[in-house]
Amino acid sequence: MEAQFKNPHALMLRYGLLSILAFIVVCPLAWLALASLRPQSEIFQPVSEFGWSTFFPSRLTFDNYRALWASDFPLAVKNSTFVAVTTVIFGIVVNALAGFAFAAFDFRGKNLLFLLVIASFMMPFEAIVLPLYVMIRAFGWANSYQALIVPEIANGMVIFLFRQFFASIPRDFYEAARVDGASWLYIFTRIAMPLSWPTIATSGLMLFLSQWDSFFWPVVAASNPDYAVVQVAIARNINFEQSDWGGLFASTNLAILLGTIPFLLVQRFYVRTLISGGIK
Amino acid sequence: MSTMNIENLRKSFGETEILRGIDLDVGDGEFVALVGPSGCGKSTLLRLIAGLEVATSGRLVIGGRDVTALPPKERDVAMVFQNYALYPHMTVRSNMGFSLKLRGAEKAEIERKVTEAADVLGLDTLLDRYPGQLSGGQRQRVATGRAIVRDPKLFLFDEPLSNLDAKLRVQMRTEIKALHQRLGNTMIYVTHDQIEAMTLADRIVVMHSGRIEQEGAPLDLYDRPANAFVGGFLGSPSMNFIKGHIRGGSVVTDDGSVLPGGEAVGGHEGRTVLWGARPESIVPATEGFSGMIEVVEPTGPDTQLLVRVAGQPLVVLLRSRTPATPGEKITMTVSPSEIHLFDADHGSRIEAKP
Repeated sequence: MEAQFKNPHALMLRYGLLSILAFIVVCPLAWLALASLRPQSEIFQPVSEFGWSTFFPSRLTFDNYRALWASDFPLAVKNSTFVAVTTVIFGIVVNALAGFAFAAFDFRGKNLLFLLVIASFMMPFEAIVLPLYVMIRAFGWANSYQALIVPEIANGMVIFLFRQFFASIPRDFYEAARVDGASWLYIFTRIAMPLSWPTIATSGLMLFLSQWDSFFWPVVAASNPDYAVVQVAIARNINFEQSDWGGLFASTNLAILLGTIPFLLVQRFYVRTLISGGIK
Repeated sequence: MSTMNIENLRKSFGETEILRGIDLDVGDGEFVALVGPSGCGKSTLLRLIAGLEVATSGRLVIGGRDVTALPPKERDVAMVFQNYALYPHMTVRSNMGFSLKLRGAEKAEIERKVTEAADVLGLDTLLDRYPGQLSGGQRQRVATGRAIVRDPKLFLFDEPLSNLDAKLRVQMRTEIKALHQRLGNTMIYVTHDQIEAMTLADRIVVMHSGRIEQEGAPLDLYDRPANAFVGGFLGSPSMNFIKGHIRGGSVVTDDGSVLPGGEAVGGHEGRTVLWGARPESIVPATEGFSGMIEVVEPTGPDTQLLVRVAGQPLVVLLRSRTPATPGEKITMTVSPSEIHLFDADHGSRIEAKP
């Protein structure tokens, strides 16, 4: 509103800068998307002479995608989807339960334990890869779905999110239910969880994306091609002998597009606030 | 039988003792109001009765059964919370039927009981709404309805009307009273609003820093407060207190003003006391003690005066539109039976010695 009365030059400058920023952000992605539609031979050819043809291919082709379809990339998508969705389902249950315990109960050592939970997501994953791998191998889980899924289920950040949300629910809800005869599990499933859709959506997305984007751990824990996930499959396009740039761009593109589907699905939960109304 | 007995109940949070030994017996069908200032422990006592807190020591018996160590769901009590605590994701119908569903009641039975309670509370047209779509008064009714459908041994109310505006509060107060007369259940009602307590309760329990100061019928407490705290807590505007010595059947203040001594002075010559009189007990007279009018506040039916007597402010409530001007001198008196004397040190009531 205020901007209307401001100096038009300042306004131009502001939108000019924003446009440049937007261009900088979008540019590589647009180039990636369009490059995947070029014939293999043409991908890098126009880059040196920057111009119209840098972005727009002379000929659109789906060859790269067709090649991808015939490769083991569909298997990788299937693996990643299975791993990510399973992690989301178990992850929400486990982390929400943990968050609820931290929010609703008082027990000895609670603060220390919560500190450890927070520390767990401050810790770089690289630091625990080796011990984790040793454990997974000891369980006999190397090259299996368990190896990809189980270590990712408990997530300190998600526990933290749930704890914060459950702590913000007025205690009266829990107490009213207890007086009415509800068990804690009943309170969790029928009162706490139904109120926490926005948190469930956010956590679900975080868990999904962490699995969809995960590369390092799958390389270590499941090197067998049968268990290759999307990011591993993408990386396979590059090797010492030759790089399949078309395949790389096409698979990256697909990974991005498929990764946005969960966002579109849960978007509406962000605007839904259910907490209002029950408490004055 | 829905009686409740409390024996020497104590509750501490760490080092802080919130309840310092509560003894209370509540009879079947009685309406008991727990009143007291913030932090007096009345809400903690209610939560102990509900089972939401565990007592540090003492015994709690509901309906003849020792429930001291039992969880809330085995106590058969229903509680109405200050902020209602209606589950926002459930309709009014599901909110009210929640406890019955938990108990595994038949669908038809739940429906019947919910409809019944909704009829009593005038909620029948709102059953399919969500709490967010209701007004404050309607939410309060739903919260009460949720308690009613359970038909519990004991109803607990935790300041249920404090979130409503003044007009609605009076209306809901009447509804709760009517409800008690109709259902006849035992009810325990926590409030800091002494008018609410006076109008609703069969018996008032006045609490102060973790102890019961006095319990009894509302008007008994009002007419014969056991100590200065109870005298000052019940009644609005509250009782006036002036410090003085008993001398020759009167109370003489430090600056030499003489106040009527009332019926209790006998045998206490020379004792230092708090002289107490309710604002409405003080009436203008041709003879008596005098003071200077400082403020005049007409409220419609009454006129409230702030009079300076013996250097201290005294509130006088006149049941008429008496013309009065600030700066004027006024002579007043109090009927001897309406004068309260309390010990100046520990505040307990002084009665005449034979």
